[in-house]
Amino acid sequence: MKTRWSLAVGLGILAFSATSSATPPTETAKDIVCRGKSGEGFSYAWGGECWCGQGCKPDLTNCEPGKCTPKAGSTGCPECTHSGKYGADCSGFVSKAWQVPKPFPVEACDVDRYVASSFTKNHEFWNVVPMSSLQPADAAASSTHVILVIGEKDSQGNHEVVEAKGCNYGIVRQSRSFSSSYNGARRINITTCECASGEEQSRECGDCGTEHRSCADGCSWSAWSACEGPDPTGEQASCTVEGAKGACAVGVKQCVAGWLTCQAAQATEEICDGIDNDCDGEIDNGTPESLGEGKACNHTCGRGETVCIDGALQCVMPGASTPNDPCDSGVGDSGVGGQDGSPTSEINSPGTWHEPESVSGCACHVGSARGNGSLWGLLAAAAAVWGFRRRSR
Amino acid sequence: MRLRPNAVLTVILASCTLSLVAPRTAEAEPIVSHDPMTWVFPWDKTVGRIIGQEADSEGPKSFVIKPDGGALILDQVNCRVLDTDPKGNLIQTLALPAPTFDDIELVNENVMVLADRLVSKTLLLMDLQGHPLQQIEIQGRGITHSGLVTAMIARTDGVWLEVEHRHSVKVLDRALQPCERQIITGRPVANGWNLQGKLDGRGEAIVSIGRRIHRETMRSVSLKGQLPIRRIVWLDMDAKGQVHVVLHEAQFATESPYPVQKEQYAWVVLDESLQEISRTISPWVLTLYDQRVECRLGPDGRMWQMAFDTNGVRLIDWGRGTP
Repeated sequence: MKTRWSLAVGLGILAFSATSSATPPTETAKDIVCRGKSGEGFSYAWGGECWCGQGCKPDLTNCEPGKCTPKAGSTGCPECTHSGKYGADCSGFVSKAWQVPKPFPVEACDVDRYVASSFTKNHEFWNVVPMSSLQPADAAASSTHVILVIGEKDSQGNHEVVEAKGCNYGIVRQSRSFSSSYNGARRINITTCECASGEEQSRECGDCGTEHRSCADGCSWSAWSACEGPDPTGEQASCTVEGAKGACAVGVKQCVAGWLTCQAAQATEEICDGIDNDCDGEIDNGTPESLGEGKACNHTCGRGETVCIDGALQCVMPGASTPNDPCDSGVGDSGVGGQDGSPTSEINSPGTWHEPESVSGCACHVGSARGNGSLWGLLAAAAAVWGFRRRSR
Repeated sequence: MRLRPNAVLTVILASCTLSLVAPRTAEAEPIVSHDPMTWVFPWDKTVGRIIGQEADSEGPKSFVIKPDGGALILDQVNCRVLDTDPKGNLIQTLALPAPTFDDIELVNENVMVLADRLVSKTLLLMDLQGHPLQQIEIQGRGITHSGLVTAMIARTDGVWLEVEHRHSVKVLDRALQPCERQIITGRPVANGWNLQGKLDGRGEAIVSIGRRIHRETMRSVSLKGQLPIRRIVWLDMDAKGQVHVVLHEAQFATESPYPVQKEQYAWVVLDESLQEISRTISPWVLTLYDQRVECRLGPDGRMWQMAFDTNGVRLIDWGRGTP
């Protein structure tokens, strides 16, 4: 690895004299952030420090970005080549965004700038600050890399940044974390107030949201609040999720993070309730266990078993297709309960309810019917448990 | 699924073809492993790195643990994914079309999804035989800037991208097809719940669990560290409903240039009611080599960490003891 001295020589880096009359301009943090954003999309050029912008946006039309190509077998620049006029390395990018050592247009190439390690120490044009107090327009610097911070710390400790990341990436804007090896740095002459005490601003965001900010300390804007908006109401609130089936398809429209989105139920285990809980397009097609089928129950004609029919567990005699088949075809009129143990339909069979015996189903207490059960009945019930086909559809 | 012809794919294929003309590393070698809980992959022999000089440094950006206990390591510097067996032995490498992918997730036993947030700004689906299957744009409803994606999460109902640690956007459905984008606050977990993590600004971290649809916070807990909590490194829920949080705790000097004095990671496991079950400390922390995913839960609920040192990449299984 090159030494810092040879790096400075190689880059034609400024060893800026303290007697220089140059100073960075007095401007707002917003001006610096804007200048930084205008570099996004330009190439990484080792030793470079120029790009083209129109306001806060990059001008990639009038100034074609160059192209950085790593040399075979290299572990990064300077073992790389760059074609084209425009591009920057990390320190060239931050020097230009900060306008240090003095103001130059962003289009100006081959002008004075600093190396990354310069930003880790106090300097006449900037001061080292704790990483915990990073603000937009500050820099985060290590001995080998420097990054322009453009956003406040997010809820989990990341910052939005713009950086000339490397040969493969160019100048990129992203949310990132920093190792503890980074120092914070704040440029001087950021003194112009952006706003007056008590001032507030709002702007639209997403497609249903608004975000706000207020004038902090009577001088600089606070970070924009989270993007939020009211949920639609009435008819506007209902929606369907495209491509989803069953319970996952029918939802309610909400404004989440400023975006209208259809919130529907998540797929769950299929139970016997007349709803496509697992969102596979079929109603009540779960396993016997999940549906609560195959459990012994009390039927007017004798010992039956539970079957999921029309969204409810019903007591059916073995061989019968509905609870209402005549008793001579193994039938009667019975009702079982929902899976929470409560009846789902009116019970007009002799069976009576008691507490569920299992998590997934209810049980029908076999009162007098148990006493009437014959060996044939038990055999029939056992056969039914083994081979009964569901009749839910 | 079939590969959809895509101009962007063509572009990124070209970019990596260039860098693959002369690979930056020798043939992959078996790992050096002296410890059942740590696999070490040597720098420049097995995994590639960029050593930044006036640029960012980077090692493997992300990894994921497979259902069989093996790992997929995103060796994007060498335009490939390393596929290991459950003992950490390299079993194959899968070529990637670009050196700028920065996250990897496994959506099922045979399909992985790779994110390139910064250059092509796309997701690429590939099977574990190395065949590209589909590529989709990251930016769209809910994601105005792909660089602001903070996590990629594969769930049974599809693939989600978290944005600025605020909200998550479903970009692929359960059939791995682009879908109407559903947006939720926080990070999706099972049972229609979501997880949210937030630093309170006073050195503690607040973890909340809520319902996606009603956006109500069901439970919340404030976590303290041995040192002030600087960052939430990872947040997820396992199949048992336990919440796993990895916290970066750090103490900095109070005088310029404010160097770090002590730092560590803490892996905190919470039960469904957000009561703390266990806490494990790791001395391995983020280095100057940029990483997107440092920690991730394995399918069995064990936490893994990918850490870097001078020798190489360490894949540490926290579930086997204190790192």
